[in-house]
Amino acid sequence: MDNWRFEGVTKAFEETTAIDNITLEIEKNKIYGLIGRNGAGKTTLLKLLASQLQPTRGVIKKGDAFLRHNDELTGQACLARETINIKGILNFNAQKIFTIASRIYPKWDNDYCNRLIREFNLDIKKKYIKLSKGMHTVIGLIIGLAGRAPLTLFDEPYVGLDPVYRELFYELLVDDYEKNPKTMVISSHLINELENLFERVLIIEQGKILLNEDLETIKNKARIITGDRNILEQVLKNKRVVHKQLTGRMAEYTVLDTLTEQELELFKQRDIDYSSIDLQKLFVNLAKGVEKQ
Amino acid sequence: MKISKNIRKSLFEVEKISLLIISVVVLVNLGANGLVVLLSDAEATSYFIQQLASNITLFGFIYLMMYSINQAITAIPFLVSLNCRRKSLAKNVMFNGLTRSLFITLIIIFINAIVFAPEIGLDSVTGIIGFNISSNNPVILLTIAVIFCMLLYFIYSLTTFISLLGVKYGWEYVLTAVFIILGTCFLLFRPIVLLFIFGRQLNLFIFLVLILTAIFSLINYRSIVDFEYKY
Repeated sequence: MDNWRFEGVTKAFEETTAIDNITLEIEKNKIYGLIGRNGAGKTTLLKLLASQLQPTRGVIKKGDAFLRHNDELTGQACLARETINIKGILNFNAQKIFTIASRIYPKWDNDYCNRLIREFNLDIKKKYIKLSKGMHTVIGLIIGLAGRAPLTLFDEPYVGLDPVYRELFYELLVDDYEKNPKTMVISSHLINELENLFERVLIIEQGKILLNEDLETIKNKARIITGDRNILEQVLKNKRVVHKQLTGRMAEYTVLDTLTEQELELFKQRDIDYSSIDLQKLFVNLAKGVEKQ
Repeated sequence: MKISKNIRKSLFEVEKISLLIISVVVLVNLGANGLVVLLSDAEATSYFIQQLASNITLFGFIYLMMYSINQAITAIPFLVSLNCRRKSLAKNVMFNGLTRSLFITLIIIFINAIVFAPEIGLDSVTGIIGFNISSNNPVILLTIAVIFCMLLYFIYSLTTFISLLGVKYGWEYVLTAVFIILGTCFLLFRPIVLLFIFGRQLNLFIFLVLILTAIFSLINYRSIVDFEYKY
């Protein structure tokens, strides 16, 4: 009963509905990839989990406990972002930010924080506003990792980072996760780069969850199937087709469903080609949708 | 308990800036007044002492207002962005206001009691809310201190309320609120003067301050607990 649950959660900002009636369960000690287009509702979802925003409707729970007005649960989450709002405290440097963070997060690991500062070559004496965009991201990452929160959320943890630092972050993340398992949700656009980290994938579009599956299951289910349009319509009529691309009589369907050995054999007999699809392509096709074709 | 203490320390980190600014302003002001002592005749010392008292009284109020605004627009969003525990944060904001009000009251009463002590013999107005501050009677000083502290905490709660309103809904509401307050003060100018010098309608004033402070404190608590970090 340690899973986090969204029950009919909606978050609206004036006339915009950022999260639209989501019901979702986030399992303990798993790494989730949260994938979505710009404005799909990724950051809002993370902020709701981190209690930085309150749902307009619905509830967020951990087990039987409600997150709203619950200090104990709020203290269990850490949202690491690429920027920290230091409006009004422009003289703050990274050292001061870490000092304050160490007081806020109950499980803060100071030794690990110092190690991360060395690994990322962060100048902690320099004022925050004078640091580069990449270093702002690094500060967020260090807070996320050293905070040791049972629920750690990373919002696009690669913004402004060069490939070397990105790689370093992925290594540190995996290493730390093996030693200190926790629930992590990582929102991202760089799907191919982060794909290997994810155990489960959440795809969000216009505030709704389009997909919530184990990565392995997705890999087994997701296929591109190419062939005669009429035959495809016939053989895939009971399957979940997420995208269709038509070229004359030929068509390319993206399917996210279980296909049996017999069905695959039937495809071969009827001149239908099929191949697996990577997560990025699946996301793009899911986002495009079927109706728009 | 430890978390609450840690939040208090974190709030103080942000407060240091307000403290620095107000200290510089007070020192510059007193420095300028101090020049009068050097350049003027024998009356200058008593003038400087009066200036010291009025400066510290005025800046006590200004500091408390600055502190509450700074907390609402800087400290609270910053700490919420670090997933600070909301109820502890809200309680600390309330508690800090109370301690600062008490501290400023003590300084003001202490300095005024010394400055307007009979042995110094200043002939300025020494009546506050109907009491004679120069009497040095502990009961009178305590009564003045309690009323002063209540008034300071009321101002703190009101400024925090307006600032949180500004952060949540936009600063046009703050401007409206400021104009409403100024307009009310203008309309009630005579009763206010009578109240602060002669203590007219003091009981009603205390009752209103207590009720309004309780209302603002409750609203502020709820606003901080439900604070949304939208950046």
